[in-house]
Amino acid sequence: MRSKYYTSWEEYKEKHPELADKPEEVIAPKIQKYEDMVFNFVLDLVM
Amino acid sequence: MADAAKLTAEKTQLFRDVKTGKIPKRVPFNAALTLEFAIEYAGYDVKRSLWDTENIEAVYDRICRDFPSDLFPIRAPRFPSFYQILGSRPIVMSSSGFMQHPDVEGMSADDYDAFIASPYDCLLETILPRLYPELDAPPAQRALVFAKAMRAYQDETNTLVQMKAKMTAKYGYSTIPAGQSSAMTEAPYDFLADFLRGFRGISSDIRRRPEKVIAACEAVTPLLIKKGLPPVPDLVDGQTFIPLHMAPYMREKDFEKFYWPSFKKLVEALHEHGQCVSLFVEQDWTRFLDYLLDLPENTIMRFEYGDPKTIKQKLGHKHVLSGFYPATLLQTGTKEQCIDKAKELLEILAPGGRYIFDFDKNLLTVDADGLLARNSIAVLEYVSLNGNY
Repeated sequence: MRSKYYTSWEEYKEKHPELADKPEEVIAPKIQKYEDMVFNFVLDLVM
Repeated sequence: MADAAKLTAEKTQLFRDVKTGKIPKRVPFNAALTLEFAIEYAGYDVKRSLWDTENIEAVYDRICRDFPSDLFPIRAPRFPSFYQILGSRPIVMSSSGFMQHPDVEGMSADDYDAFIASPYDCLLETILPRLYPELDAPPAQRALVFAKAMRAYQDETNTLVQMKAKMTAKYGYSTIPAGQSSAMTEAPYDFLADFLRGFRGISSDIRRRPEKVIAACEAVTPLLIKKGLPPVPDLVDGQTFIPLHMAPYMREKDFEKFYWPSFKKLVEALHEHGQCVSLFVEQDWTRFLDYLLDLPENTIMRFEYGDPKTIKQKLGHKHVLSGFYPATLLQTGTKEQCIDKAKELLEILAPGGRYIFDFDKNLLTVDADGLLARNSIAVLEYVSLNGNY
């Protein structure tokens, strides 16, 4: 899915080099979870 | 509590068997009630209770005590709080408190190209502010409105999830479908029709701009696949609910051209990701049974109308069937007539397994003399005692 309003973890990581030495295995699911919560809410509003 | 845990294990196994093509110990059954029905049945005011969820636990408990069911019996409602914050046009509360969906057009015919280029961008930039005018505001104000609405949505959802878990622990309901493996999505054509173009708009579009409709359905399919995938997909314990709307109002050649390709792609993609799909086959799909046969094995199909014998014969060896029981009979029939109908459907649909007893639609309102509730309880009790294999 391509959108300027949806960011995958890989895209997010590229934009945030300050995370390079942080524990990706716990940060990635957390960041992605909130991205997906917003996505699901937006879609729920048009269903 | 130990008895409830045992009941949960037994009931969960019924659904596991049904969803894997095994014949279960007995026919699993579901009392499908709306929260509005439940609130009225428990003696509370719908308008107030949808705004103030303080009474929801008492409502749930009353329903769970009185209505036998293998699944938690109350369907998730639309709460008014976040719709109010957003200034909603597509979902509004009526004077009696019921949440209604007027035919609206969130997307104009001129928006097709932008939608096809990026459906999610078009939703956020153009369609949401049109459907929800409080979002049609300067950026900072828009962000605040969105944040408040989403927080309200999460609060309401969390309340329901907690209450449902409490009732499951108390009354021993099946844990299928599991929360982390549940989702909801829509067929691409229905998605375009429901909130975006409206019934009239889409009906005109398939004549005036057919290629745009096809392209829009294709463009939005990846979003709807994503929406239908829960955090933990599961072919047995999971379930993605897809209510089907528009097909019965279409000519078969239009259905084949506009509705079916993207819908089939959606269901197949969810199945390939390891997720079970549950369809609510609204209205009469008799003309399209050959298409439904073509969907992945063990798709759950709850039918509203149609001949159960024909549909069992056509689809019952491959898919899990449900529904058919006419809710209108519960409103008008005697107790004996209602039980006879349950007996008739069990005889037709239970043989060979792959069957979940359910009404053809969720019960919406309580009638003045309470006949609907009494008949429903009598039918559910009958099925619980007479559904053994």
